[in-house]
Amino acid sequence: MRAPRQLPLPLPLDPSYEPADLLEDPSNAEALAWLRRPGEWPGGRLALWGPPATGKTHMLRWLAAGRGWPVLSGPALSGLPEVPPGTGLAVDDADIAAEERALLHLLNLSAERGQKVLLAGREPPSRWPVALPDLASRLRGMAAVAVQPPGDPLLGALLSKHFADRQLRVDPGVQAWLLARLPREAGAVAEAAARLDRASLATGGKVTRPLARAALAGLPGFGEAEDDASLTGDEGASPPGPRLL
Amino acid sequence: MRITVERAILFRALAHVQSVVERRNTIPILANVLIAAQEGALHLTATDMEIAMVEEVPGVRVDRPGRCTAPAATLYEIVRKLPEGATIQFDQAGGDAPLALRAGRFQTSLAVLPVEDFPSMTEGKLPHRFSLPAAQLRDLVDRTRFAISTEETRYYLNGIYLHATESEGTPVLRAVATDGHRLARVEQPLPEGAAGMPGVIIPRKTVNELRKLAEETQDEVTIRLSDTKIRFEVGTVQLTSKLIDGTFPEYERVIPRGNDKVLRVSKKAFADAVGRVAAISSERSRPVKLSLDRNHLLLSAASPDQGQAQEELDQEVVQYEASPIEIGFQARYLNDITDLVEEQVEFRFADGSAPTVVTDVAKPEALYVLMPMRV
Repeated sequence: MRAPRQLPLPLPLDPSYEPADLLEDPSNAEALAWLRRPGEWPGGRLALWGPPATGKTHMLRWLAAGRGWPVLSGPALSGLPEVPPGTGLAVDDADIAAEERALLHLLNLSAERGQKVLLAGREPPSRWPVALPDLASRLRGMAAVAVQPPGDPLLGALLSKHFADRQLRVDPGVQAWLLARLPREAGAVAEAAARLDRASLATGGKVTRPLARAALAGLPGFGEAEDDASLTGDEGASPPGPRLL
Repeated sequence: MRITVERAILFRALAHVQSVVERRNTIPILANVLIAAQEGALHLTATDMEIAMVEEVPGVRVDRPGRCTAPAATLYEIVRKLPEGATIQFDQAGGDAPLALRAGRFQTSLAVLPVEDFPSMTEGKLPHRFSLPAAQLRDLVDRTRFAISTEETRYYLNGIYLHATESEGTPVLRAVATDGHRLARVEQPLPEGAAGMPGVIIPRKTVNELRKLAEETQDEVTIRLSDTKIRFEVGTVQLTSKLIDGTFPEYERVIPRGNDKVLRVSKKAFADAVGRVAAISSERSRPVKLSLDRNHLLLSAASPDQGQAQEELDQEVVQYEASPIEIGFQARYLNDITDLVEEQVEFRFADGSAPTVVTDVAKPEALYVLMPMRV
């Protein structure tokens, strides 16, 4: 018989998009260099693309906040969306725009007005599954800059940021233990933080190694191979964590 | 310093302030109470660096003003054990000289620590000020504090979130607490002066001290606050506290709006049945399953070691017209809420794994959200 299990309240997450929390790293250096120079974007447009949880939204919001651009959400684009006046605009999750015509309208209108446009998505725009020929040709012609998969130092910093965004205090030793076992992907780190948050909320306890083992057991690529005698106790000695940015 | 004070008056004040003092202190001065006598006034202060309580003690004869600090717990115990009606005299020559205490034939001498070492928490501007009746403050605290998280990992849930907002167009002062399993939200009409206040998270210990103070008065309690500090003025007592430096979650987003399976049940019949059925359970969480059908509620619990128990409630005390549903909750969570309900409790369910809204039919200004268990 399965033991009864308390479900946690789905408390919403409010991640920080503060510029100070944007972690610079070789994996996003090229993208940041492009974002700092909108005047050099070919045709006034740029697409930012990369794997999930690599900070595309953070970078997009950082740029938009600094230049006073509105941020639109792709899944909310429909009809003939209002294009606020100004020097530019940003569309997050543009690769999953609710209506292709709405995105096309946005690109046309901003071109007429001379507004810069920044789009963000998981793939380069030339690979977005678009049916409208006019939109497809515009996307194929866009300059696109990739955010590369993060290196180990950034992964460690990302894990710390995800816990900080969730206002969850996690022992540095446990964080190092997690980093040694998580796949080297930003998405996996984000997913692990989300699962650990839910699990600790459900149990009403701290994020410990036993809790992490149970909560991350089904996470693809989460390994136990590096376990050794010195790492089995929660309060035991842990290897030093990677240097955070 | 030389003062004379009635035992009963001093005991009452010491009982308040010593409550703030932590039993185990690595900083010796925090175990002491600051005794400050000026012309015609005696003030006692205790702090743990997070909270400071200052009480003005009336009816004191000050023969020689002065200040000293003495061990709070020891002083409290001595005064507690003095006979009722005793008159106490304090005498301290200043500096490191011990504090002499005399009452009738009893006398003692207490070691002091330097007054200069006693931390001050009462400084700083508190730009927002408003007052509300003690009864309303008690209501805000009583209906929310059971849901405060005790898990230090999630520090931003270790208190009551107090803020000014609107409820259906009416300005209200709202208190919210959650431990991630349940959420309590209660409101009172917004007091004059509270409109521009920032939302603040009041720590659990402060809430508990405030509740004790609010018990003793029917008068207005004055609240002053800034982004980082709050002060409650209750009669002759000032309770100043740091606030929790965190962001309270956007709690409105976890309050379901569309739950349409409505159960109304007699609080007494329901709470008694939960208590009886849960007694069988050996689990710490004591899960109780509610099985609902038209005007019928079956409560059940099972334990691998002890067996199972169930109790039926029918249309005499149950109103339920929606489709059948099964849902489990921790017995303690159910009882914590029904303890606050007067006669009839209303549950609004969606399904067996979604948040449930609970209200007191007679007091709709208080609302609770309860997460179920998978049973």
